[in-house]
Amino acid sequence: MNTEQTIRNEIGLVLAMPPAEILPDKPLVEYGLDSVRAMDMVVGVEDLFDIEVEDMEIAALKTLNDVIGMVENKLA
Amino acid sequence: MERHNKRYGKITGWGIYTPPKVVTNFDMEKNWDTTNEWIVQRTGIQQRRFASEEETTAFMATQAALNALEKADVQASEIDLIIVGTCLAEDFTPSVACIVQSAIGAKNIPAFDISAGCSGFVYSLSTAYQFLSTGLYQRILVIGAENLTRFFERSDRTFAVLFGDGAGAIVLEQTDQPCGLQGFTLGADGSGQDDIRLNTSSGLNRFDAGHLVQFNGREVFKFASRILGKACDQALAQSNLSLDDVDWIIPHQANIRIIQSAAKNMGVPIGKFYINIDQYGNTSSASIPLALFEGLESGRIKPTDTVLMVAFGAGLTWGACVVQLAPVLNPQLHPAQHSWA
Ligand SMILES: CC(C)(COP(=O)(O)OP(=O)(O)OC[C@H]1O[C@@H](n2cnc3c(N)ncnc32)[C@H](O)[C@@H]1OP(=O)(O)O)[C@@H](O)C(=O)NCCC(=O)NCCS
Repeated sequence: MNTEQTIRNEIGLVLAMPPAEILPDKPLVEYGLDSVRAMDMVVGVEDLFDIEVEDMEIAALKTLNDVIGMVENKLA
Repeated sequence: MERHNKRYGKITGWGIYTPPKVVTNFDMEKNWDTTNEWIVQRTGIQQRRFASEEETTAFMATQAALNALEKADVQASEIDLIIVGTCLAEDFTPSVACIVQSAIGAKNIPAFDISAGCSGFVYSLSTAYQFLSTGLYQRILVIGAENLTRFFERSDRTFAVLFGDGAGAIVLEQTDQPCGLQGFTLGADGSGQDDIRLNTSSGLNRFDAGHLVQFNGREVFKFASRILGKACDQALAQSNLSLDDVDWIIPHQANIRIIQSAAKNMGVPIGKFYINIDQYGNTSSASIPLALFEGLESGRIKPTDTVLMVAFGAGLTWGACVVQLAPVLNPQLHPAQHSWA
């Protein structure tokens, strides 16, 4: 599974919605992301990719594309 | 190992004490800059109990213990050991366990507290089983009791909305019927000591201290949602059992969102977790015995079920134990236990 699909699936689980329906640039808040779900998402992404996400970085993760960009940056 | 010499431990009694004062989220709104909506959404908590000044940790522990003794039909004089898991004894010393011993009318038996944050009950139960399996003690009272709302005046709203007071106790009795502790794990990571701290260091009187509560909710959330699944895996591996052999996971009730996150990461349906945080909030070391009691009394947890209790808390600490509440007569259900048949 590629990076995007893995992240999509994880966010789908966190937000309890079908991964395919997440629009890449729509704010995740509109799908129900709040500060607690954001932590949940970050824990999932950290474990899936074996990366560390600082607290300060979380606020910038507003859309699916933001999360993909952040992960790809760390993996690069 | 000589199987027939193995000493098993059965939970023969359970009791709780919860203060009568119910404090809803709407009540909390009156004293804190918070809303019912925020609390329900972020934590799953609807209400909690507040202890009065008379309802000390030891008082609540004692009431829970008396109820458990009655249920087990055991006299206080028959108890060999008392262990109390608590973060918050009234005083640095004596221990809550010693006060309970005197209050229930037990004499000369050992009594001590275990301080392991919200993991106190799992630490205490695992310890009790060790004494039981050596044959040293036959009847042990294990209690989780907390009075954390005492700290509210010195905490902020994020901390205050989470906690409630209460106590739960069980009587553990030696038996030659195969049941009881199947496996357990305990752990701690002292490098996380600052993530939850109830500070008593700046004065002899703990209530004189400034900035009593230090709390990094985010770090704790991340730690908890990870460790819950790991601790379960370790305790199951120790037990030679799989999650399918477990009827209920009884997690420490800190935040429903932690449980949901762990369920997701473990790939376990949320319905496998016994949850009652909506009623009591986080009662720290009391949360697991409160849930066990409620489950058993309501019949949702069956007397022969296998339960996986799992906790995490300040320290940081964690622990999990797999307990088969009573012998299962059909060994098909638990292939790992064929050896005793
Ligand atoms: C406590 C917990 C629910 C807080 O969630 P969080 O998402 O980290 O909350 P934050 O502190 O980031 O705050 C998010 C927002 O809610 C606000 N907020 C915090 N507490 C609030 C409260 N009680 N009521 C209303 N709003 C509150 C914050 O000010 C912040 O607002 P902002 O976005 O406008 O700045 C969460 O961290 C948690 O569950 N932690 C673990 C629980 C725990 O430690 N239990 C004990 C372990 S045994």
